[in-house]
Amino acid sequence: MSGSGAYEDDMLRPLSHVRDEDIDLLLAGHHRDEELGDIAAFLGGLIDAVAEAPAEGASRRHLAAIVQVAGEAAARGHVLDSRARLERSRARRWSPVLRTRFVRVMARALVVAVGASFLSVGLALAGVVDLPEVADDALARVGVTLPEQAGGPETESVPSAELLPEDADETAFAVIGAIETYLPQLQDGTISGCEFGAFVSAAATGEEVDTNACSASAAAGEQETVGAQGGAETGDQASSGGMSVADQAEQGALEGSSETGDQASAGGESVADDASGGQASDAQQTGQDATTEGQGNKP
Amino acid sequence: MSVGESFEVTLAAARAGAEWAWTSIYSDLAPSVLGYLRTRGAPDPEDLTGEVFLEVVRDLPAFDGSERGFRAWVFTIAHHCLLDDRRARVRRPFEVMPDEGIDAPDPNSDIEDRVISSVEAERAYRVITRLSADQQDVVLLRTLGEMTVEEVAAALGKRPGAVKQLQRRAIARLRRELEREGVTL
Repeated sequence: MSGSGAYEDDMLRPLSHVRDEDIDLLLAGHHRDEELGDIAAFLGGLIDAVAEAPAEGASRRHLAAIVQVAGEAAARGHVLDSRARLERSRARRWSPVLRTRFVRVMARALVVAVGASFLSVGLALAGVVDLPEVADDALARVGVTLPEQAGGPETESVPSAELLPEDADETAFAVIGAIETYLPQLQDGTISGCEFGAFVSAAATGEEVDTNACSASAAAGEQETVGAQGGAETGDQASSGGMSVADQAEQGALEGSSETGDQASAGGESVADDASGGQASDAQQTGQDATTEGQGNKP
Repeated sequence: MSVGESFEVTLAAARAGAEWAWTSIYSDLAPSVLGYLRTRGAPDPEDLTGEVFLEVVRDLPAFDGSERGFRAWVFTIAHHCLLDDRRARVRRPFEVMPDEGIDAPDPNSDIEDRVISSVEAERAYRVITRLSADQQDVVLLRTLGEMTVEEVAAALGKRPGAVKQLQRRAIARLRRELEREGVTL
């Protein structure tokens, strides 16, 4: 270390015991240690020693410039204040409205309704839910097609011989053909369920159609009060049973099972027979058995 | 600061552009600011003092604080203006100053004698300028600006601990210089 550095260290050493608080006192021109009195006096008089008012001409120029810039700044500030006040007044104009309890509730309801609408459309787009037809149409109008909607094209439920495999049994073709032919007539009331069953049964068995039993059943129903009611029910139930049998026959035929078609035909025949006998409950049971049997043959 | 208890009123009037308020603030602070700039070696301390106060006017909307805080804030601006002035002079060493509006220096007077009028001030100036630049900044900002250690640290971009070390070494050196010169203010 140089001599100058050693001298500086010697001067620093006495200050090593001086606390920060004492340093602060010294810089303010005060002291607690007499050894530091000279430094305190020097620092205390430093402001008076070095502070000096600018020359008069310089002060005039400074103040003129200051006042000019301050006036411009104040004018800008007034403009800004005016804008801020305007914004605040606009906000205040709406705030009493929003503070009203009814408006707050309505605003919340509106938010919930809009959110629910978006949620429904989102679920519909995902195919999770079905929208009402009106909503579906509205979305379709703007080019949005929703998947798996209830209003969409239905699965073909009318049996068709065209769907049968090439190696299907002729009986199956016959049963399907009968169903195709007579089902529309059954639906529009041209023929009764009993007659429909007879047609299907005939197709299944290869025998001639015999609808006399249906006529006899109807006549018997007219003669007996209880039987009349039962006859009507019998016809409907027979029709229902026949329909079930026909469905099963179709299903079996579509799957290439001639056995199913035969059994269904047999079931249909039984239905027709039972219906003609006016035994509604038995006919229903028969139809159900046939249905069960047909289902049991599914692969 | 002689503005005293009416500082808030004066500050509000200054924000509104009142001339009396700026005259009061300038009269109170300009001598210390000029002393700081001159002691720190500003080539044209009076002109720079004017720049400092124009900067104070422009930045006043951003100020929020007490009278003591305002003084510290003004001296922070003065320090930054001093640094900016030095950088500008380094970039434009031969810049010609306009004659208009600037007091012509007395050609028969030594510049140092003209700036430092009193004997005490001349001695104080000589002692202070023997400190390092950082030590000068710390001592002058703490005495003339009445700034705290933290405020000085923020103005100089140093840590408070470094400022404390600087002021402690500055006082040690001042003590040595005062003993050498026998200066008593």
